[in-house]
Amino acid sequence: MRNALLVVSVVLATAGTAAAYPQFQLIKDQTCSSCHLSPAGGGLLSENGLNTAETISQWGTAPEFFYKKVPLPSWLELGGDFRGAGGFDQSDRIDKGFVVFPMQADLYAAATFGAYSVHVTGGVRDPQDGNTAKTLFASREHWVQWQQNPGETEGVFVRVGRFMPVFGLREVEHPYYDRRYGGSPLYGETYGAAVEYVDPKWEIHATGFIHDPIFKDSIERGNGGALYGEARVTEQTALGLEAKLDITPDDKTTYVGVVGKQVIGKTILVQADVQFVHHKIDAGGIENQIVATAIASYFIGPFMIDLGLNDYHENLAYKLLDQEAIDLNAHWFATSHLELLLTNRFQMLAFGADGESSGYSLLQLHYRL
Amino acid sequence: MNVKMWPFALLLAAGCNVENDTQDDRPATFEFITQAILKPSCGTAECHSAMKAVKGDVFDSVAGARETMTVTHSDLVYKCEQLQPAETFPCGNDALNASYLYQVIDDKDVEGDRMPLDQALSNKDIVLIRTWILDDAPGLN
Repeated sequence: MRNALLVVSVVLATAGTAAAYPQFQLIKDQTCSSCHLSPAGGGLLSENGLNTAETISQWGTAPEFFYKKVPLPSWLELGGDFRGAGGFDQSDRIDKGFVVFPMQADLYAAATFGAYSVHVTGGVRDPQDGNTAKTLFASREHWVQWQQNPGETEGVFVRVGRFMPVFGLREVEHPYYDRRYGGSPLYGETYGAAVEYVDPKWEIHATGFIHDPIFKDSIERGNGGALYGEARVTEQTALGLEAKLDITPDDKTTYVGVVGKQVIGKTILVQADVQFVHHKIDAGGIENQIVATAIASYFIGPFMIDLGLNDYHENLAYKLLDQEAIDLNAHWFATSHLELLLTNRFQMLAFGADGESSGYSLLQLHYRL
Repeated sequence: MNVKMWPFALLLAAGCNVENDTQDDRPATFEFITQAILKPSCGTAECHSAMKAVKGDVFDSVAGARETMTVTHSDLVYKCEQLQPAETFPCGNDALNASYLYQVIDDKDVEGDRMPLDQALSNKDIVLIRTWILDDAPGLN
């Protein structure tokens, strides 16, 4: 039994990585790039994103880098994200206890010169066991970007470098099954090139990627491509299609999926990502899987409440190989920079018919520099 | 069929796949078990991926899992000939009882934690790993 009351652990690390809050899309604006410098969202905020961070928060405060106390040249943007969490974790009926763990410490920089810009994310990562000194610091993302309309949030973008191929909802919370078992896992960044077009009415992202030739132990082990397209049918409705092919030395995985987003009233966003996964193992064996996540988000003042439903069928040819999870997350945006988040999960095997359920309840602190 | 509709038809067809809970004819091989069970459940970024390699164990690739089970922690899976004293196949539960991998997914590790920590494996996956070990772990060496 895990009887220690305090376990410093990264087992449940829920780092935000490069993802953003897709819950804000449609509710706050039509595209990710209207609030972020990256055409895929995540990382550094644009002026509109900074304004959103200020207006949604309880007590405001200057949303800029370091509260605008550090003057920056016009071509340079800096920022960062820091996260840590602690709370109760229960693996099964006996194995339970309190956990505390760091999650994220990343700094961002973007230097823009006309149509060209350089983006770098560097910080602390979960180090390799027994090799901490060499693996503690890493740059998850670094890319060179050209955009058709400098300073604008729309148009054609071309990126070359290391980044997460654009696929799926791209939630901050990587335990959501569409990330955990789908095509955008934690630390899934790798080297590639992307051609992207963003417009308030529609967007498309085509990415070709390779297995990281520098860091051989990266999570993305394959070569392949990802395609994500989304149409804003109305200002309240978006429909997306997605596909990804990932070929590793061991297997070939094909993802095909649909994404839907619907605003209800002015304060609720429902979004879902359903992926069909065809997994062919070179040595023999085929799996057809379903990975699905649906999230309903309710905005009230400085709070955002998320109810998430997750379903994963490991192999559709057999019963009792499915698992489900329910998430209830409450975000409180205290200031432009500070967020307190209560995350709760209840997870089952075959709806409880195939073994013990598990879960956690964690309080997370997020500071955006 | 309208070309725009084929992804939806594909999803529908997949969802209607005939399931079977009375048998499991999935390959009980080292490669399949690594790719279908160990990689998604144990070889995640923050646990036994090559990137993190908790306790030196790697389960997110066939090569990594082979290195883990034959070199790093050769007590994870025992073939009959590796038992002390060596036995001939079939050695039955002797191999199962000696294999630490089976103990930690079915019961507890030396620290008292069942693996994976975040969610137990399904019984069907545990039985497939059990079958593989009882079959003398084909494909491991």
